[in-house]
Amino acid sequence: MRPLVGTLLLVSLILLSCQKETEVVGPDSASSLFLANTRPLEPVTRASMEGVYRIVQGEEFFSDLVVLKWSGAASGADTAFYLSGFFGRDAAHFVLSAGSLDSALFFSGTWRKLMTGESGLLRAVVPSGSGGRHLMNPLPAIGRDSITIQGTWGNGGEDPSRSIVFRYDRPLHRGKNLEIIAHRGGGRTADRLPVSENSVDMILYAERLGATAVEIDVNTTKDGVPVLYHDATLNLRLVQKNGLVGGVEDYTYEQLQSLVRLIHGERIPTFREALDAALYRTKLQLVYIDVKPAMPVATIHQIQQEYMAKAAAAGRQFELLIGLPSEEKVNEFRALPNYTQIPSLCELTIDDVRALNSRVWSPRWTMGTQSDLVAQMHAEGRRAFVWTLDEPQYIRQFLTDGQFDGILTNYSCMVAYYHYVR
Amino acid sequence: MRLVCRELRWGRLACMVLFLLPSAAWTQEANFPSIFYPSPPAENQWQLSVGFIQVTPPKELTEDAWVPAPTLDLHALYGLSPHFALDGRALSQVVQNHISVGARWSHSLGNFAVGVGYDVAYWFGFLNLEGFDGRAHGWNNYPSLSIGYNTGDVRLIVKAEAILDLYHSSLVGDNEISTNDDKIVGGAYTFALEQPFWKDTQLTLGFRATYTKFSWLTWALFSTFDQYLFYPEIIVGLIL
Repeated sequence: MRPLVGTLLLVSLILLSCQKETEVVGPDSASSLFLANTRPLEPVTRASMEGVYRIVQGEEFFSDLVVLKWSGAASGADTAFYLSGFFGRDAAHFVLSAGSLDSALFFSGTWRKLMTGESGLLRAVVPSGSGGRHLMNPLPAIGRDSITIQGTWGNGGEDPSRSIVFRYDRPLHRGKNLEIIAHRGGGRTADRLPVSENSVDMILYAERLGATAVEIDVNTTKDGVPVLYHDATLNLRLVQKNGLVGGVEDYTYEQLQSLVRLIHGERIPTFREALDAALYRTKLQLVYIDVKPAMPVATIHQIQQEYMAKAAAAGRQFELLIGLPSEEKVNEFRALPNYTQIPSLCELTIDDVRALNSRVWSPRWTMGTQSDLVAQMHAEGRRAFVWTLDEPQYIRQFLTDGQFDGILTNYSCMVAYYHYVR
Repeated sequence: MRLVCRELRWGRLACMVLFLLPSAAWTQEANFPSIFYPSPPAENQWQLSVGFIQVTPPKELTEDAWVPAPTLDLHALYGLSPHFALDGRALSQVVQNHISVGARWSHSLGNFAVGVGYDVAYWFGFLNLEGFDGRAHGWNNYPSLSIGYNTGDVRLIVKAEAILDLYHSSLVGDNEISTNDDKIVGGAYTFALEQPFWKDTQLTLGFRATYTKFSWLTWALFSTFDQYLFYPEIIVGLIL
């Protein structure tokens, strides 16, 4: 009998230990060759390219439309610019580097589908006669079908050989401002992005995914250093194997720096490093600070004041909101002097929002669009952000039927798509 | 740390169930009643089983927040003929439930038996807790093939199933979405043994390995992963 039971247990353990490996494609060396000898694009060229494009070839794999938008990431005095494309299916998107040669534009990078885990290489050209010459003009005249982008893409590690062609259709929707707030600094590690969640690299990547703001999870180390880390424990979902048990609050900052690496090899960043990256190296407008249970709100507030002063000195529109997700954190917040004057975001009821004078009410999306309550917030000069909305059909409904001013999501590219194609 | 300890506790409990309970079994007559073994009850006779299943959803969905909760499992067979049986099963966690009805054809070949089944299931769930105002329901179908081996004291079963998601719908506040793609979303392999246990009862111990893009048990997590994720499941049942 026991051998039979043992066999069953063994089979179970083998199956439990199975883990599917998925290839995540990053830029290859051929990409840099593709852009060799090209020159950086002028700001006017980049701005003129932004818009909604119809996909006339390759739509069966991606979608009928793609939203093109530029973003930049500063490094010292230099800024690298990226052309992002957001599709309407499977949270598909691409991130391309670009350059021009003569009057043609060249692009190279990767595409990714966050929902399916697929990724691959993508290269594209705007030939001189298909819009390249227009775009290089100091005053480009852009209209329907004036730009045709011809590309090739490959799935997984294959060379880009499948065709994709898209044509300019219309400008991006510029209606009511919507904050696209990227969860975990930009996206979840589970979505197989090339950088780890809650890392500096992820914050720098967030705009390439369509975000205008980020949410970060701030925890504390044993010696009181605020750091970015979401989970209660150091686990293999977020960090590389290290043999440590417990949470970040069980280790000093020094120990975490020397012993722990995030899934893609980054260090766990301090809160200050994260804010430096967001403030000085991106154009992100807002940071939603999710204060984890062990993290004192008073410490967060000190750093918030410091960085609001830095933002003002830099002439940046940069909002830092202390997120209040629980009664415990609300009580800590109330203990701060002049707490009603401190920029905050409350996830509890609208009565709590009023009592705290929070700038933003942030309900869970699973309560629905709640348009009457959102209207009350608007009437009081407050905003409403909903969290954490990822389901495409619901994103579309919340944008169509809801009145929210911001959507916190793991799929910024999907929210960006539905927002800009409106 | 709390989560780790909880997982270890469940792991220890599972090991105890798997190792210790079978050792308390007695050898009885070979022809004992079964639920998973592809052999129908006698004509016009019922066969009932009560137990639980314990599913661990994938970390991709639950991340570090999941409260493990067993699911009550009531399973019944009704013999129609020497080869045909009706198969009914109800799984419940109170806030989410899954009821299936199906037919099973089976045939014995010496110590082996083979069965083919088709189950139609309706599931529904509702959550009206703090921060949630949602409900969902849907239809799944499960065609299956089972192979059993009877050692006399023990019956071993391997069952392969496909999971068809015919329709599911969810409502959040006043917002409703639905899908009716009518497609195969995954499959499952069940490895089970059945053996005499206590007096006239028999014990079922099983492990079900499910790879699926959608599981009714995690509807409230609103998964957006269009990927086959792994749901290990422990099955414990008492055949009455």
